[in-house]
Amino acid sequence: MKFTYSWIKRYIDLKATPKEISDSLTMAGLEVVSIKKIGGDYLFEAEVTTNRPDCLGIIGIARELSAIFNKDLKLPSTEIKPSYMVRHKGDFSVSVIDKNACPRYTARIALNIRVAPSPEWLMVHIESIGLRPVNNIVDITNFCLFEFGQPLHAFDLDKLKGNRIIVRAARKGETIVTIDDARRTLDEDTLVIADEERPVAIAGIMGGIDTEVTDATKNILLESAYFEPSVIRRAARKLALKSESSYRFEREVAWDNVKRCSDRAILLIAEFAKGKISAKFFDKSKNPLKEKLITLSGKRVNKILGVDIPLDFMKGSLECLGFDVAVNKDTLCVSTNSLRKDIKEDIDLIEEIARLYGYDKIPSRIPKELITNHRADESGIRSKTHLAKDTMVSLGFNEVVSYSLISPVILEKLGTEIDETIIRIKNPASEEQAIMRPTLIGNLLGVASFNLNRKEALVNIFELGNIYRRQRGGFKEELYLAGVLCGTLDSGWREKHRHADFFDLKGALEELFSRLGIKTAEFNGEPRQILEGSSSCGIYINEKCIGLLGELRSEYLDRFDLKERLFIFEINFSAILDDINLRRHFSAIPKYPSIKRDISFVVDEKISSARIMQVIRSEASALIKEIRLFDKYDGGHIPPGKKSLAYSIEYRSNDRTLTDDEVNSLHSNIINTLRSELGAQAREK
Amino acid sequence: MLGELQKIKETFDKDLESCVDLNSINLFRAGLIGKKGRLTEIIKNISSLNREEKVKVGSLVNELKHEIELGVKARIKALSRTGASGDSIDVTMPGVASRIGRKHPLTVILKEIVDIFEDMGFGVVEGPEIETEYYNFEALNIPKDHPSREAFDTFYIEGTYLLRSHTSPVQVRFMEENKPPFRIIVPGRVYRPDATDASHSFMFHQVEGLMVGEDISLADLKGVLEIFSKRLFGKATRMRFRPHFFPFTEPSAEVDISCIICGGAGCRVCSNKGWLEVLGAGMVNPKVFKYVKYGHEKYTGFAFGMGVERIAMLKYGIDDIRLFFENDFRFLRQF
Ligand SMILES: [Zn+2]
Repeated sequence: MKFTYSWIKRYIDLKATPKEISDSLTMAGLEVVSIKKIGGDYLFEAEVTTNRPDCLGIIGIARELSAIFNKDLKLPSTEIKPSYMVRHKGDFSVSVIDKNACPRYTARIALNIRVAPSPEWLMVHIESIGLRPVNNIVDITNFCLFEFGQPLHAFDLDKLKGNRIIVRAARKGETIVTIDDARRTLDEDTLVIADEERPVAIAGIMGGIDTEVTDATKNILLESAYFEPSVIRRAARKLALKSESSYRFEREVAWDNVKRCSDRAILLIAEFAKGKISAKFFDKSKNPLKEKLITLSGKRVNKILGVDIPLDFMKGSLECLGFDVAVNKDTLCVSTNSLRKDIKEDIDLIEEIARLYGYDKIPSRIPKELITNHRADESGIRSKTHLAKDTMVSLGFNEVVSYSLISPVILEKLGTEIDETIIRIKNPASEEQAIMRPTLIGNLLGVASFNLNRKEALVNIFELGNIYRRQRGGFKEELYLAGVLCGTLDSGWREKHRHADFFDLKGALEELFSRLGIKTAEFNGEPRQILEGSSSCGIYINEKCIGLLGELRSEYLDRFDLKERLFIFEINFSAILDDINLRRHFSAIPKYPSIKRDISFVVDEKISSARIMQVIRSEASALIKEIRLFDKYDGGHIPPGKKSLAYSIEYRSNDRTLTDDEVNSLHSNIINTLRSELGAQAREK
Repeated sequence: MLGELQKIKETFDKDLESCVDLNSINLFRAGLIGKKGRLTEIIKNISSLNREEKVKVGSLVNELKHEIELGVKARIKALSRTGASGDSIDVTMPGVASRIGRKHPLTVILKEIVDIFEDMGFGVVEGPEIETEYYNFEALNIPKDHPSREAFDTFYIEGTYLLRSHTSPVQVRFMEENKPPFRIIVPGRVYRPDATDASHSFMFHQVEGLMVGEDISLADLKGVLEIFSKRLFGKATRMRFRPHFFPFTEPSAEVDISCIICGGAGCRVCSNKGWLEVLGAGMVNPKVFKYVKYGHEKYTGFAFGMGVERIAMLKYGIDDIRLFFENDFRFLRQF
């Protein structure tokens, strides 16, 4: 909303500087976003919130200033002197068919006007807020629109067919050429102003070109109305057409301004266009607005604001804003009015008082009420996600945060079928953001590709975030944890660089599970389609598959513009929340020393590490504290189809010190069992 | 013989010192007490001495032998400590370390924000991102076909299902289930079909706060937010409440902090205003209490909300919101 210093001064005798005006309006809730010096005047631009349509007229802003600076508000005269009036002999009528869409329609006729350029002062005002002067009639309707915030429209009376104005819904397929010279096709959702033959204006939005006021116009019909905000809003949206008028009707105009503004305009027309005013004033009102009394307790004001404002101040502020206020002990009785339709309840008045008292004068207080900390992470989900993130970060992984809305192309690349479980946005801003992600993998591959293509040697990333799917008529939002490892591990100048591989990622996950207190995670089973069959697996907790781990199949590398071998994991974090155990229980430090023995043997390549561990454990499991694979070797002098493995086994008893003999005998039993069960051949070191 | 012993004894410390690795120590030791060592030779010849001399030399030999063993042991230990080579290292060479990763800056700032409120007794509550019109709009006093909805362009899924455009629906859900007094904060993702540019994103994060009781006032809101802004942005931070309009609070305010770049003098970041808008806040509109069936006028409360990206951008001096979601390592590794 634009207004100027000189225009404001028409209604209020202010001494304040433009800067003071701007600051005080801003601190009262009408944010002034810019002040520009134009000649000897100042142009302000303010952001008017949707609850304050009264400030879409300059008088409304002046009223705010009068309350802030405690100055009188001088309203322009709307008294029509009898000397301006004539009897209009023609017979003319107004009918409002759709009274719900148009609760109030007024019209009056001005005769024998002289269309000419506006007087200088009027042109200056109109130009200062960025409008182009047209002629005195159009300029006067614009001036009054900005003055009161009430849109007006002038028709060339002689171009209206028949002697009737009809306010009705448009008929489907009906057309009108609006003053911007565009032909528009209408339907029943749009309210029109019509004559006996055709629409002559789109109600509240824009007039028709056929009946607009031109230099040749002699007689006019001046319309001032109250249209139902939602009706105008819907039509404006449908027609994709907005105007200063529709902007104000959508936000609701003031009932009382409908006539007041019409009076003001017709007076200016009589004065500057030398017209005569028809005595007949058409006013088709559904039902006049009823004033309502709001009872406001001074105690409640101070309770909500946390202050001690005297009742006098409250009364004075509200009166300055144009309300009638009566005092009854500690309460105020305030009558509502049509200029401030946003004021309906006591809380609305409390806000008015707070604004004028000044938010900055309200003290800061620490809540004294004793209040319990509600449901603070009952499920532990926050501590669990924090611990998972902390662990991944300490394992060298970088956290990424990616969009939950993704392109269907990503799912195509992943070979994920876009079936009925996939959630699609009905009105996406672009196809890039049309799908709610059903997996984190696609985004992570994108991030990996982005960084690898910018010469990062190693990409080690993870994301912990929601995925979304449709489920049994509803929607499912589940937390997933996923990660990517790709590139060269490089710890500096001393050690050799090498490619990160499956076991690096598996090692990280083992550490993660250990940190999360999950002891039963197993890695085996069938991998998913995007993973290489020979180097991937499922992740299981208590025999429930909760994720996958492995190498991305090479055809997927190309699709995501990736070149190097890449390893991924994805875990349904929601599904393991209950398995995560943050409780720690101390076990006594062992009293007796442990003894370590290494074992090294050649065995068939197909025999899994898990199987070997199982066999080792089957012997003397009570005394084995740890089995660690520390070497694997094949090729060289190891026969084809075989591999050489070396394990270190730690023995310990909880109730005595084991003797060398005892351990040697256990150890040779293990070697024997490995030979008999798995055909392992022990190697001498 | 005694002279020879004396000589061994005198030079022993110096000779041992000149041994810089295990090999030379072993050789040195062998040269003294090995099969053909100098001391061994003396022992072999002891029998040729007279009785008196035997006793004297014998005890001296034993003493020396013990000394040698101890010295050699100590030297080996010392060498193993300094590194077998004993060469000095170039301490200016970079250390060899495995690098830890980084948390995303949004995670970092969100934790900072949440921690401050948790210290003030607020509990964290979360809610669904896929919401209904009722929770996202109606119960928050944002009626259909009302201009106030314009501020909340929304992604729809189907029917009345939509992606929440703010975290406020969680307020309503929480109040339906819980009776005051309480204080909660609600972090989460929100969605608005804005054209994406340096300061707009169709997806971002919010933290919403809500405190309701029998005597909660605007002054309490100012107190809580003042503690928050001073802790997050520094003790010198000033705060300003400007009246504003939100459908779900009344009175409502936009909350500015003194510009953290220029301290209020005016700069490019604050568009020369000296103030930065960081929060929306207000007293919970009684209409919202009505929707969750709280007794009329019994309770009062405040609510506030902030954009996490905006806070992070101000705090870290990030000038493009898209950087958060691009996940460029050159960005991520700065936090
Ligand atoms: Zn600044």
